[in-house]
Amino acid sequence: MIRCFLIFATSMLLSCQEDDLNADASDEPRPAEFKMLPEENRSVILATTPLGHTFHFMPIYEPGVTDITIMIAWPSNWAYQASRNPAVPYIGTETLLSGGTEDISPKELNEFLSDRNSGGSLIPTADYVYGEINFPKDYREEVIKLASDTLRSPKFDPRWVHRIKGSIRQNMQSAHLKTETKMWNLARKANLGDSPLYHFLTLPDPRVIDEVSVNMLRQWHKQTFTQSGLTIVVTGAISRQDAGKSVDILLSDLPKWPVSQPPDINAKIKPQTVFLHVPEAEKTTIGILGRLPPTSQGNDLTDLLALSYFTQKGSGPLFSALRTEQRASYGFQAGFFNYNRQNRALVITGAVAAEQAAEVAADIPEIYEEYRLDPNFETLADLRNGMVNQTQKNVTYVNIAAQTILELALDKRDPKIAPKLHNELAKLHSQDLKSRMKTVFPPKSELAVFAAGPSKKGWSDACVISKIEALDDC
Amino acid sequence: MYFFKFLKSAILSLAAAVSTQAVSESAADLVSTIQHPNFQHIYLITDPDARSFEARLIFQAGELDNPYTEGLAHYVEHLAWLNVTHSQNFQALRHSNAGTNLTSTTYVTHSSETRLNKELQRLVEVSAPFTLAKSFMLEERDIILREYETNVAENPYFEIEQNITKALYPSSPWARSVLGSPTEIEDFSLINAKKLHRKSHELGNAVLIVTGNISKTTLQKALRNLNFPKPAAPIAPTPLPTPEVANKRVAADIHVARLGNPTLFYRKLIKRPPCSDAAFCDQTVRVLRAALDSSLPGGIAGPLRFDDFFARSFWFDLRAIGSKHLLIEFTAEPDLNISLSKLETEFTKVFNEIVQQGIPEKTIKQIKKRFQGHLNDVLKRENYRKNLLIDRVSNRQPYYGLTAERRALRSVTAQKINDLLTALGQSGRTVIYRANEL
Repeated sequence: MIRCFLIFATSMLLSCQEDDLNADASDEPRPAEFKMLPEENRSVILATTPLGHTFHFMPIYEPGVTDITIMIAWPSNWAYQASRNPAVPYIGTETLLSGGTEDISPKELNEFLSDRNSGGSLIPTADYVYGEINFPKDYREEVIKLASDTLRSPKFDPRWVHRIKGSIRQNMQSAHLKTETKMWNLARKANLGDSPLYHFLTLPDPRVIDEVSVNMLRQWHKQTFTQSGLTIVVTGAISRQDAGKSVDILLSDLPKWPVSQPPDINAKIKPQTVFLHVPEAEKTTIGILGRLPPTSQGNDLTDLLALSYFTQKGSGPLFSALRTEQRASYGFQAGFFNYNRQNRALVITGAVAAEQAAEVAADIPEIYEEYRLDPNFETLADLRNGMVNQTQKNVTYVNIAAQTILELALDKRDPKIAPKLHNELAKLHSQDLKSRMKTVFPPKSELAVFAAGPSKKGWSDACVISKIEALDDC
Repeated sequence: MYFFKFLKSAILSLAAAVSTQAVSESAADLVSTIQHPNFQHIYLITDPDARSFEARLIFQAGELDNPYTEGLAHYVEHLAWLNVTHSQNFQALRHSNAGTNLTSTTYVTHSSETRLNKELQRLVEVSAPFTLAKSFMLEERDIILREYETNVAENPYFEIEQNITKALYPSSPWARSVLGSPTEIEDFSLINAKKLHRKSHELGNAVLIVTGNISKTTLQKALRNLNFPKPAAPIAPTPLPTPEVANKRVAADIHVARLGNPTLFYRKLIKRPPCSDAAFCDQTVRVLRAALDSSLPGGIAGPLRFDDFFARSFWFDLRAIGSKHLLIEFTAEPDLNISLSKLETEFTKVFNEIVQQGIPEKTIKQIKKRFQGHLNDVLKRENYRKNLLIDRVSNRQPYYGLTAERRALRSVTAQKINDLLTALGQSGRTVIYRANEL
């Protein structure tokens, strides 16, 4: 079988390729599918639906690309109100996704999406509930209708609610038995206090899961899934017109309420060393935290590159010190995370031998400080190029492009950079990192050290407690 | 964008066709094969849009081939990589990774095209005898202990699965642990590690996979410049061991504190009917697995989870163990007021009924349609193609391309699926753990 392709670029090329005799012709785009890519391909614009919802739109008009992603961030301040049960959003999102509607049973819902190679997710965070649906263009109308019905009239069948409560309770119980989780919970309690946000992010008391009622879920649903204050993204094989119509159908009949703003929470990362004694622990976990400005201020790629270099396998300063020299650890990781969109923290974490833990915990801030003030970026280009390549690859995917655009939009940054995010990374040089670390990264004197493990030996300079509730004594 | 990619690949393929080393090509799979006198196989997936390449050297030997203490193959992998990365010549080139599983040992490196020669040289150096200081090599056992703590300590499923595996494959290499236990790790012998390294790290038993912005010509040139640390010639692949399946049922009530709630673990190992075409064998298992896992007629999810409330959640799998056996895996958490014994009874009843009645043709067609649609999007297909290649090689299975996979899927019939289903109903070795029954 002979295939010929005609391409018009800066010059005209003609090439014929004889395929393997067994090749599957349907595997590749047909010549007829090919046309010059329109200018708007992979460009992010702000568009408006016929009913007036604004949305960020990035079409992908490329041969062979068939998928579409729609993401919506619903603002929510549930996590900040002490009167609210903090487990409700977790149980609510799960039940909404798998519990069916008045018109479609959970079983039918499950197979309906599988038959259409489609799927969705709802993820509650402190400030937003993130909704995402992915589907091929051929099933757009039916998947959108189903998603709309699910959003508008979830069934909240008590038997399914009960089942999901059981699963979440089990997951939380198992997680809370792990030393690593105990260390993270300790850090969160220290930084957020006994606040509603701490309870929302931790669910320290599993009884709140049992207390969730169908009425609470309905109240949460009514309050959360509205047409107000939304950030919406559509990417993939879809026209602007169809994208607008789809968003309108998706949101149809949802109420319009005034949007409540999340309160101004300021996590305090107090310089301190706290060791949680867990006699039954099978490992010792360390987490070192410091404050970073929120991602809305930008430069998070600089932070990511600097922290990745610090711990990278082989030649990273922390890897070299702890694994190659001290032989104390398999490897530490460094990065950042958000408690909410306003409170971001730098973190350096890993497991170490119990007998070396206190020493290692004291060494890390020193190694960090030396790196922060006088880094040797000899092999930075290699790491950066690897990250550039991976980022370039990732943002080509329809759903990852949507997620990237959404995060930029929520930070009030320019979503147009999303498809070329790798170029932002490629521009970074050692001087950018040096400057950022010196001026924005917390000095070692502002770092907090948290650890949990089976042996108290060596932790005499730390505040040693045997339960998280005793943190106030530190 | 994709079209340009394809065209460039096509042009490169034409150029390579005149090379004496190019032996086969499937344009639709975009995977080139290169013959080389020192390696078992070399595969290349060219992506001209990539900014860098990834090279992966996969030795066709893993923990299954280790006659010494369990976990020693993993220790050898650490030492072999350290032996290279600590060498003066390679100090700056450390953006890499390595891994061991039951069937293979893999070394991976990423870099820019200009470093292809150096990176490939580094990969082949993993077969060189160890020259590191003895004390440093012995200390690496502590690092593996830390790896054990980081990755699996406090993971109740790891502990339970290890015990199930021992019960499922008594006296068989398939029961071996890739990591080993902390006691075994502490006692790893350096002498045995060196012996195992000599045996398992023969380049003639290795497959090289290169993906990224590398043309076939560039790769061939880099291969010509390689200095091999010791003579190497292709070695015929070692067949995977065959587990013995004496018909037996092992059942136990266990308590695992870290697991929390009650959970049922059901495993059954059976001999599979003879099957010669690798792609077809795999697709038959894949379709049957998905049908059984679904809530469609002929699936277990309907009667166990949706139509009735026996399992709050469950995980089901059906997979090949070597080329002659299949393993059924069912792990489930019971619904309220359902005991683990009741859940086990219901699962067995539902499963046996499905085996007796067969899976309806409509269900098979529906599952096949889902799989056919799964890779319609070209962006998903590119990644799948690469992962399929790596997965086959890492599991010491013959490689076939996406084209062969699709063709095989088309030829799967309800009759073939139900023949295989009947085999699942035969007696085999069954292990059932009821963990944390209330």
